[in-house]
Amino acid sequence: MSDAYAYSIAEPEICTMKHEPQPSSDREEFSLEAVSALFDGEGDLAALDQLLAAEANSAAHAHWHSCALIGDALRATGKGRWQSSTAFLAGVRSQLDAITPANVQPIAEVVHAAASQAAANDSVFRWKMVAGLASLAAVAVVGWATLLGSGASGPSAASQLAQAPGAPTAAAQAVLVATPQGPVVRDPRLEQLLAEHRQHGGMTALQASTGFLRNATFDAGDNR
Amino acid sequence: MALKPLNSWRHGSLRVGLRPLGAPTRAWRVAMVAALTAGACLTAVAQPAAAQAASRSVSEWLTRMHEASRQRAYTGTLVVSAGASMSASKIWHVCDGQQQVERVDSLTGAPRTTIRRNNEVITFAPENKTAVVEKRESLGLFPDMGRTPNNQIPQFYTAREVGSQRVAGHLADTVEIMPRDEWRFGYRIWSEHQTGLVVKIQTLGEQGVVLEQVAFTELQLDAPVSMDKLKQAMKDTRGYEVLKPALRKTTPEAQGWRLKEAIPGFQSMSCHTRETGAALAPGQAPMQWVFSDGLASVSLFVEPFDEQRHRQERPAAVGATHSLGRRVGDHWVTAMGEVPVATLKRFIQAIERTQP
Repeated sequence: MSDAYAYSIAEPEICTMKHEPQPSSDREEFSLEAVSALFDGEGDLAALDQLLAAEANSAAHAHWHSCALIGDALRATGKGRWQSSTAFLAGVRSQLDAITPANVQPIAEVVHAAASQAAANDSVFRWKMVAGLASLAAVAVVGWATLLGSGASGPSAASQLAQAPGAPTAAAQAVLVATPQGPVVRDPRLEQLLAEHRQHGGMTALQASTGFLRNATFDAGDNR
Repeated sequence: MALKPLNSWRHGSLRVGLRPLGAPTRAWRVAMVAALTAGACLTAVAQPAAAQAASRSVSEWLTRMHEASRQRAYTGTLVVSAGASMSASKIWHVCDGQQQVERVDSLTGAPRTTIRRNNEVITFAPENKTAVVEKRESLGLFPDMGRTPNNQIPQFYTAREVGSQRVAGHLADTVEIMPRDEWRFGYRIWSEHQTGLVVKIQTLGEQGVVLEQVAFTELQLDAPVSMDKLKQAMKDTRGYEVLKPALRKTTPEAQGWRLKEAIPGFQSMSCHTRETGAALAPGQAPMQWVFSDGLASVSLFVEPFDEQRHRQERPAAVGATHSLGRRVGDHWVTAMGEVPVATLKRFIQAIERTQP
């Protein structure tokens, strides 16, 4: 249970992003917001009633499903339902593709500025969608740059991400995973090699004293 | 009806979360300068007490650290910090001189319990109810410190006692083990003053930059740890799906590979292939070839070239672990290890195919 809370920080960001391009009537907007809150175990009874009553409201149900998928993906248990949801991944990817290096930077700056002002716009739902998208993009760019080493600067890393080729390849190349620092884009192939290096390659005189402890501690942190 | 606003703390925390990712270097630099300054002060104060130990050689230091873990039971909390990420775990350790049993419970990331008895390791993942059983060759390799490649460590590293500091509540001698050439990193090691147990390690890159740190934040020496209980826990796999990764010992020659040039200090330690389930032609199974200079290790991974997956010839780094990839004919070679990128470059330029 505590895990669900631990990772819920990032969930609404991505959920709102997925629905951003859709036209939002007041009614739908409320529903989606309520779903997000309910998913985090924070809704009230009235909201729950409304969700259950809204059987025909496929958007709310799709949103619930998305939240569940994201939860699974971020927890990265390896056997989750999320593996089959290529449609959802494609949606996220197309959003990321749409972000050009030119428009990433300004939005990210706005997010930082907002952080110091303590959310005067807290009640504006649309703002959150923009902020969510920008946060995700910024995290993705930084994560990607970190992974590729110190040489990659922000914009060029972003263009690499945007140029990620066709659907199956991109899915194999980079995934969003939850780390103690928040979601980060990672290369699963390198992750796998890293795990194998730590398990079977840690040939050091320090292994017997601390090498094993270091590697075992790492393994868990990596969400392997 | 009142609308439930999305909680501001969620967004707030993500924004705050951006900062350590976005500007890690400056914060680290400040922290390191502070740490180094503190270290310098303590060094000055502690000089007289350290004088008697200052003459220990690299081998003597490493033997002392190694023996300390063999004679002792302890529990503690270990923190590993690499780059912007930090992992922590709870440790139990017990050794009777013959058998070394350890348990590591992760405190960050996915819940994991890893228990090892000498070189047998089992990793429990409660979230998906799997237990991975392995024999780790690396853990049985250095039972005594006189053997290769340890006896060549003094050829490539020097040791220098630089003072003493308190770590996890214990007074510890600080030793710098520095490389004699540019093909490896240096280490700053804190060794508990009485026992010699390693309580903290920093891996040092160029110009002494700290690439990675491993440290106990809390340590209870001579704690009552029951070896029997740990061994029982290791066997208790009820409710877990037990997985055994299929590794097959082999030699680089048998797989059709060799190094046309030796990399100074690094000796071939082991080589294995990993069964992938699919039927593969000889030489096509992914291979891991491991080298060590006694302190640092390098893995060379060789896989069949795949245009979709293998395109990145640029280096990547996580803490002190670097990696570099290169296409060699129909194969893709990834060199990975706790060494500078230049060393990895030498490795992937030296490896060549001996069979078509």
